[in-house]
Amino acid sequence: MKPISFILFGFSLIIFQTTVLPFWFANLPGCDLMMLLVVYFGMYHELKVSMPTVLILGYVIDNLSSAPFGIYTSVYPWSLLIVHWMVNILHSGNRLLIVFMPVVGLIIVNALFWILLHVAQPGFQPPPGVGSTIGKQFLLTLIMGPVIIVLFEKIYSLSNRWLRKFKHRQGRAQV
Amino acid sequence: MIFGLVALALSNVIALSLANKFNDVYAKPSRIAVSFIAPFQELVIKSIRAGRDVWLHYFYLVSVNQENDRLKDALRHTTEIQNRYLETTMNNSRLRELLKFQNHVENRFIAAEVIGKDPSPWFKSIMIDKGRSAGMVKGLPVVVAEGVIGQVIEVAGHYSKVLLLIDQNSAVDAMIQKSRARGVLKGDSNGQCNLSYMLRKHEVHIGDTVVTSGLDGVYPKGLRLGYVSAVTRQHSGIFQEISVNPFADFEKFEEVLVVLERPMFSPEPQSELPP
Repeated sequence: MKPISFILFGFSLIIFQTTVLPFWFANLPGCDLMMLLVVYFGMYHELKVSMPTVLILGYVIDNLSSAPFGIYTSVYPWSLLIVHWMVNILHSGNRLLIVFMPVVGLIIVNALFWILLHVAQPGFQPPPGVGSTIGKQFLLTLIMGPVIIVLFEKIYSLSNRWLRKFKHRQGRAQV
Repeated sequence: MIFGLVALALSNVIALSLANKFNDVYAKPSRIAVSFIAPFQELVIKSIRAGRDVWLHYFYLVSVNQENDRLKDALRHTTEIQNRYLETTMNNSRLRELLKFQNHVENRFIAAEVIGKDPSPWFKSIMIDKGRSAGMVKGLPVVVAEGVIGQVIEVAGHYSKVLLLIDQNSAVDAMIQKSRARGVLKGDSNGQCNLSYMLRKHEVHIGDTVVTSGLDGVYPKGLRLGYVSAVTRQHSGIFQEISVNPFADFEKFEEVLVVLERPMFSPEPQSELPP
C-alpha cells in the first residue's frame, strides 16, 4: 500500500509542478518539488519503499521533460541513496537536519544533473543565467525547503491516521 | 558493497548514453507515461482557468474585461496582418526581379491548449492537448499570433510535447526581415535567443525583425521570431554575435496554433514544352 500511495502522491506533485506552479508563479526560478520529495524520502523512509517510487517518478519526469531521456531516472535514485546515507551518518534524530538537508539535496541533485547531462549530451553548454538561477533556487530552497518537508511529513502522518481510522471502522462493521 | 555501487554507476552511465543514442526504443513507453499524466494535467489546468475565468468575467469588472479581451485579440490580429502585409510586399518586389523558385506553403492550422510545462528548470518545453488523433506528427511548427514558439518533438495519442524556441536544443533557420541576411536562431534556455552564423558583412541593427527563412523544412517562410536586442562585433572572426528577444511571451500563452503542413520547395519552374 505504501509504495502505491507514495507514487500517487508523487504524481500529484508532478502535476502541481507542471500546471499550478507555472500558472500562478510563472517566474519562480526552477522550483523542483521532486527534489524535496527525494530528500524527504531519504530522511524519513526506508530505501526499499522509496527507491521504486523515486525510479518511477524519475521515469515520468523524463517523459514529460525535453531533457535527455533517462537523466531524471538516474539523478533522483542516486540522490536518494546519497541523502539516505548522509542522514544515517549524521543521525536522523537531529532536528537541525530539516533545515540543511533540502539545500544539501539541491546541491546533490544539481551536481549529479550536470555531470550526467554531459554524459547524455556531450556538447551541452550551460545556459548563460545558470549561476543566477542556481542562486535563486538555493535561496528558495533554504526558505521554503524545510517548510515543504515538514508539510510532506504532516500529510503522511495525517493520511496514515485516516487510513487507520478507516480500517478500524471497516473492521467494526464486519464484526 | 563499494564495488557494487561503482558497477551500478558505470552501468547507469552506459545506459544513459545508449538511451540517447537509441531514443526511438523508449518512444512507446514514454507515450504511455505521457498519456497517463497528461489527462490529469489537462483537468487541473482547465479547472484553474475556468475558476479564473469565472472570477474575471462574471464577478470582476465584467464589461471592462470583455472589452479588454476583445481589444487585445484585435491588436494581435492586426499585428499578424501587418506582418503578413509587410512580408508579402517585400516578397513581391523581390520576386519580380530575382526569384527563380516557388515556395508553396499551404498552411492549415489546428488550435491546441497548453496543459503543462516542463518539470525540469533547465529545459523549455510544453505539453499541448492535441496528439496523433488530431493529425499531429513529430516536427510540426507551433505558433501564436505574436510569432513562432517552437516545434512538436513527441506525439502521443491525444497529447504532444513541444520544444520551445528558447530551449537550448532548439535551432531555427532565420533571417533579418529587412536585409534578408540569414543565420540560425538558437535558444539559450534563459528566455532569450541568439542568432548564430550571421556574417560580419551584413548590416544588422537593434530593433530589426527576425523571421523564419523557411529553408530548414520545418517552419514556413516569413513567420515572426523576434527582434534584435544587441549586436556585438568582435575584432576578429567572420561572424557577429546577435541577441534576439522573441516576440512570443513564453510565460503567458495558453493557446497555440500548430501548422499542420510543412513548407515544400519546388525547383525552378520548367518552361513548358511545345505540344
